[in-house]
Formats: sequence, structure tokens, C-alpha cells
Amino acid sequence: MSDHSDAAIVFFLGFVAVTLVITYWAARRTRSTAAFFAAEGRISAGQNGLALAGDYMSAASFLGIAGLVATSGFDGLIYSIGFLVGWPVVTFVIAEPLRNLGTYTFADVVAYRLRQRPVRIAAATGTLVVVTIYLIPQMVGAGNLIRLLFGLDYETAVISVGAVMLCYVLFGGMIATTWVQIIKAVLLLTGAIGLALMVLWRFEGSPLALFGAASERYPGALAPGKLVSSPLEAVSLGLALMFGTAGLPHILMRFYTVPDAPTARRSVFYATCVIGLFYLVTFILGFGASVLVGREAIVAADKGGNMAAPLLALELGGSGFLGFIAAVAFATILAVVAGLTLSGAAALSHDLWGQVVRRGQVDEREQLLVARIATIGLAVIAIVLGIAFRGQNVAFMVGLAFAIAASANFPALLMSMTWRRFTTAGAVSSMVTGVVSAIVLITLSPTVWVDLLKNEEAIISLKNPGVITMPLAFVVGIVVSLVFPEPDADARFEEAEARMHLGA
Amino acid sequence: VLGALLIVLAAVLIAIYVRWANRRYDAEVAVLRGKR
Repeated sequence: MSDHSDAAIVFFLGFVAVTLVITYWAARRTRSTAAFFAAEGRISAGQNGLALAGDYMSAASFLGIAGLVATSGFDGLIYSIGFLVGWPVVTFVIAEPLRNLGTYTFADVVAYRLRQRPVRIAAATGTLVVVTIYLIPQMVGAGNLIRLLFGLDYETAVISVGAVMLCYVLFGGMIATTWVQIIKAVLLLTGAIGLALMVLWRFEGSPLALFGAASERYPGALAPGKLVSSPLEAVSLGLALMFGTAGLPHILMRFYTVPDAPTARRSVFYATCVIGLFYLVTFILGFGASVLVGREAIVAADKGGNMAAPLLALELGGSGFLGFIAAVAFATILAVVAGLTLSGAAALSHDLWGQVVRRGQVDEREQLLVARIATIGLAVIAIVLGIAFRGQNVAFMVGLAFAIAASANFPALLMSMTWRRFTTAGAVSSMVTGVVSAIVLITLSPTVWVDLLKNEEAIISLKNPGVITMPLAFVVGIVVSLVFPEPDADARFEEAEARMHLGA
Repeated sequence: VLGALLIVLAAVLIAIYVRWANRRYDAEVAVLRGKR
């Protein structure tokens, strides 16, 4: 076993040991649904800011963006910018109303003045689709990373990730998940900044010197058009990344963990600072890898460029630092998977079981039991999907998850909060349209139709469907609401609006 | 550079909003709550 594997194992086992101790501590405090789903609303703004950042900065951000910048230059940055500029949308439109109107899931807000059962079913479906699609690349990434670094076989690696994540969520609920995300965010930021400082050290501390060297070695590296060639494609991808953030169920759920709306607002500010700093660092890591490691070596290690950051760590800090970066990447995956599973369990237990099956007549014990059963079920599904998708190119799935979140969840959430005449039929049709159109268009796009299904030509040339599916979901929601008015929902708008701004 | 500026601008916009909301918006909300 190589040196970096030993270092990675030490760092990784240290992370797992610390987080399991926290899980044990959290488990003793997780005795109610409020504790399981929302940490009893006791998380501070700073803690929630870090946890939001931990939930949001996935392995796709760390490994994927650094790789895209290294191999495609300037265009890779569209992901850094797109992921970050979604946060003002969350701050100005979503965070405070969500905290005031809901309890555990975003369906609480959409269904507040509408008919509970149809809206809950549609919203839970949207949540579960996003969670499942987002889980697959995380599990596949974890399997590959562990196989590469620890020498474990792929299946054992995926099962290990599922088992550790299950411990966090099943026993520690939101309290343990929050602390896992906080630790992961600190580690990830430390590792990324440390690596960026090492890169800048080689260029006398000047990012401009680094960019100049990148441009010299790969002419055109600082010019757009390598990764996203059409402006429509760029707009479409940008829309999905921006508004998808405001529709990701595991991110929205975090606003219920703070005591009130002002704390939710402050937590988004802290999260934006942390995430912004991280994405600024990805500029340095990506261009640093292209200059110091070389595109040829990066692509030789992994066709998708995902090994750019680890190879850069090996080049600059030796095998020990590579071990640390690898363990951080793995911790990143674990934390994101835990957050996703918890939001899926909330949709199943709170929305589907509590409000649809039991029509709101469910006691604490039963709901907590269902939440834990749902957690086990989702962990098993994550493991099975991780193994089933072994060797597949699943990078497109992160984009698909964002496209569905932007098309299915965000339009319904926004219209339910701001448009008086929005109805149950409008909400359901908008969410169903968003999910179905995003999946259909991605399937017919070159990403799946040509690259995955090996057809000669794609039926639709657009790789990112957001520019079509998001407006479509809005239009369908508006038209259906106008055609099928709902006087009861209209009458409750003032009450919902007052609560949205003034709190309970 | 423009990309980096955009990221910084997003954080600055949020900072301005949070400062305004903490000082003005919350005070107005408290007054409205008192009237309820």
C-alpha cells in the first residue's frame, strides 16, 4: 500500500472516529421529530452557515470544478460562478419566508394554503427524484475514490459509505448531520486554501502570474468557448445552477434548524462567504493543476479530470498531503450523502406518511419510527444505485439534479409564496411538468442520447434543459391556476403572507 | 477577474441586504407584530 493511502486512511479514520463520537452525543439528544429533522431549531447562524456550506460544497464542486478548470480553462468557471450566484436568490426570496411558513420540508410552504395531499405527493416526488439523482454521482464518486486510494474493492467501498452515513442519520439525525457538515466544511476549506497557497507560492503570490503561465502553456485557456460553446447553453446551465440552489431539498431543509427568520438570513450570509471563498480558491486550484501537473497527466489519471486537485496535492505537498486531500474529498461525499438522505427521509416520513397516509393525525413516536425506517430504506437504495451505476459516466446527474430542482421545486415554491391566485392544480402540474420535462430533455440530449446510449445524433442539441424546463414549469403553473381557480387558496393568501413576514 | 468579481459581488449584495434587514426590516416587523 502506498504512502498516500496510509496517510489517507489515517486522516479518514480520524474523521470517521470524531464524527461517530459526535453522532453518539447527538443520538442522546434526538428523541423527537423536531430534533431528528430540525435539530429543534437550536443551530446558530454561524453553525448553520458552515453546515449550509458543508451541505452545498459537494465532491462535484471540489474534484469536478478543479478538473474542469484544469482541462477546459475559463469555461470551467461557469460552474463556480453559477453555483455561487444562486445564494442571493436564496437570501432575498427563499430563506426567511421558508423559515416562517414551514416546519421540516419545502412542501410545508407550498402546501400551506393549498390542498395538502396532492401538493405533498408532488413535492415529495420532486424531492425524492432530486435526492436519488444527486445521490448516484456521490456514491459512484465515493466508490471510485476509496478504491483508488485505499485499495478496497468498489462494492465494499460503496457499502462502507452507506453504512457510515446511515449511522450519522439514523442515530444522530439533523444534529449529527449538522456537525458532520460543519467539520467537513472546515476541513475542505482548510485543505483547499492550503493547496491554493502552495500553488501561489510557486508564482510569487500572484494569481495573475499563475493565469499568465496557464495562458502561455495552453493558449486560449483564459478565453471562453471550450466547454460551453453556445450562449444559449451557457444561459441554460447558469439558470439551472442559480435557481436549482433555491430548490435543493437538503439545502432548504437547513433553514428549519435555526430559531427564527433573522438567524436564517444571517446564516445564508455566512454560507455565501464560505462558499464564495471556496469557489474563488477553485480558480487557483484548476489553473494551478493545469500548469503544475499538466492537462495530459490529469486526463490520463481520469478522463473527466476529477483527479486534478489530488494530483496537484501530490505534486506540491507529497503523499501525506495527497492523503489529507483524499480524506477531505471522502468526508465531503459522506456529509453530502447524509444531508440528502435526511431530506429524503423527511419527505417520506413527514410529507407522505404524516400528511398523505395519516392525514396529519400522526404522533411523534410513529413519525420518528417511519423517519428511521425511511433512512434505512434510502441508505439501501443509495448503496444499490451506487453499485448499479459502477463504471458509468454519471457526471451529468449533478446537472440533472439542479435542473429538476430549478424546474420542479423552485417555480412552485416561489409562486406559492408570492402569487395569490396560485392553486393546488397549478402547483401539482408545475412540479410534475418540471420533473418530467427535465428528465425527458436530458435523456434526448447529447449527454445521454449520444454519450451514454451511443446513438449517432442527439434528438435535442441542448445539453442543459433549464432554459426550456424552468419557464415551462412557470407557464404551466400559471395557466392551470388561471383555468382552475381555487377560492379557498385565494382567501388564505393574506394569512400566509402575514405569517411569511411576521412569523408564527 | 470578472468571474471573481461576480462572486465577491454576490457576497457584498447579501451583506448589504442583511445589514439593512437587521437594522430596518426587523424593527418594522416588530412594530407590525406588536399591532397584531
